Amino acid sequence: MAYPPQYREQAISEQLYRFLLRAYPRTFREEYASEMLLVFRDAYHEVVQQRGLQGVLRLWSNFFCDFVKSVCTEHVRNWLEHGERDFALAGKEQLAMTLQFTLDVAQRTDIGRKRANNEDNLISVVPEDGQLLQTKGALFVVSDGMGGHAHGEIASELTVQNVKDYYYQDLQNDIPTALQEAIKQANVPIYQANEAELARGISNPGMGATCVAAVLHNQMLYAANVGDSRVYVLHAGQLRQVTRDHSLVARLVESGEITPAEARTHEKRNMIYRSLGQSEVEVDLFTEPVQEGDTLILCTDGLCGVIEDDDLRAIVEQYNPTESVQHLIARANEEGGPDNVTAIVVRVSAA
Amino acid sequence: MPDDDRRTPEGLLPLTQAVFHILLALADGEKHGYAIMQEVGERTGGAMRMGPGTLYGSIQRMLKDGLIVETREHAEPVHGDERRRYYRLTSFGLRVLQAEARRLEQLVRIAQFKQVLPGFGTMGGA
Repeated sequence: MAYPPQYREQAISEQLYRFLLRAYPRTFREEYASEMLLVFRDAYHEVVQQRGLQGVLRLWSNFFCDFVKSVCTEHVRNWLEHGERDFALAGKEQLAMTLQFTLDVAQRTDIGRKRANNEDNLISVVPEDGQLLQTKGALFVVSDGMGGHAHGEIASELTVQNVKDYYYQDLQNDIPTALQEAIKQANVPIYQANEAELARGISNPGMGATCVAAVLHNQMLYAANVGDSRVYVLHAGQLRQVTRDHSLVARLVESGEITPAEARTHEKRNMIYRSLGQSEVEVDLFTEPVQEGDTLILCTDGLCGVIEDDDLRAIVEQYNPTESVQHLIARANEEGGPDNVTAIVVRVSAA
Repeated sequence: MPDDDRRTPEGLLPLTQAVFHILLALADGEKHGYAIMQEVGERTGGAMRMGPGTLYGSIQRMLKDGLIVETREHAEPVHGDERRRYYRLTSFGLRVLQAEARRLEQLVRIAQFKQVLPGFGTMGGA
């Protein structure tokens, strides 16, 4: 197609700028790239009319300096704000086949807006070893740590790693038993660490963690939980909470004393009556079939305690898993980001 | 929305050049990104050339700090049918702008007092 020369130059300039915009961190780009392109277009129109080609060259020299400087700034800020750990965890996406399904997995954790550190942890395992995948399936774990002096971070890190290790090492038990056992095993080192601190005279060590773990295997979902982190399933446009929270507010909602909306602002909403770090831990298990097109969501209360289930459904329904986790976290932060926010989204489709 | 009104503006000072200029540009009403850039350029006689990266990087942090908000519905798009984002000052943003202006004013007073700048103490005296 033949354009008049000035349009061709403008198109080339715009393409070049659009290309440069890719250098910005992803979250920044998704939020502002289209606006920046509009600004570029406006500025281009103005200088062309006023100063012609010379104006365009001046514009490019200004915008290029701005580009180099702000790309560096945004990357440094991104790194500082989300920390190294988030970098390693964020945006990890896997496409893997289990026997019947292809799984599209995305996971992300964010410090939120009010906390000084991120005590959440998460792990997604889709074994590359086909044999292991066939026998044990894919595993997803989310944990919300508690306790001062970095204890919360350690507790949640221990939880997700140990659940993974114990689950895949257990080749004797069936899947639901192995999953419950893995969480009970993961409790032991946290409980022992608390005992060790008590023995050293520290009165209230209080290291603990929630744990929610889900296994997808042969068209079945096995979900196990302790505390108030959750598993949801989106099926045919309907969002359903699979796990049942071990929290005071969940009991009050069940007994009809408060509404789910009131639970989000209840002064005791953080009170949970089961967590890892105790001498004994009881693990609940939920089993249900999954179908092609279903989406699995695991999250901490920094997400589901902050945004409404309807918002959660709308986002996961509208976007693919990678976009979903970004939007979910952005949404929780828009609501003030009172706590760390963590989400794993897994879409199940035909192999 | 962050609970602005309990924070003191001083915690955010000094502002970067870009943030100060953006706040000034929004002091007399909401504007979209390019209008902010234009005003800053004109007001500084072209000395301050803010590019899109600096502009939106600053805007992102100002939104986060609650200095400005995005005003989503805007009746008349300026160019064709493009949906632009407009921004306006929050009351906290205005207080931060005032605090920064006062801080700069104090610096100017000191410069005048030390006779680095004409004004205070030198006017009429010499």
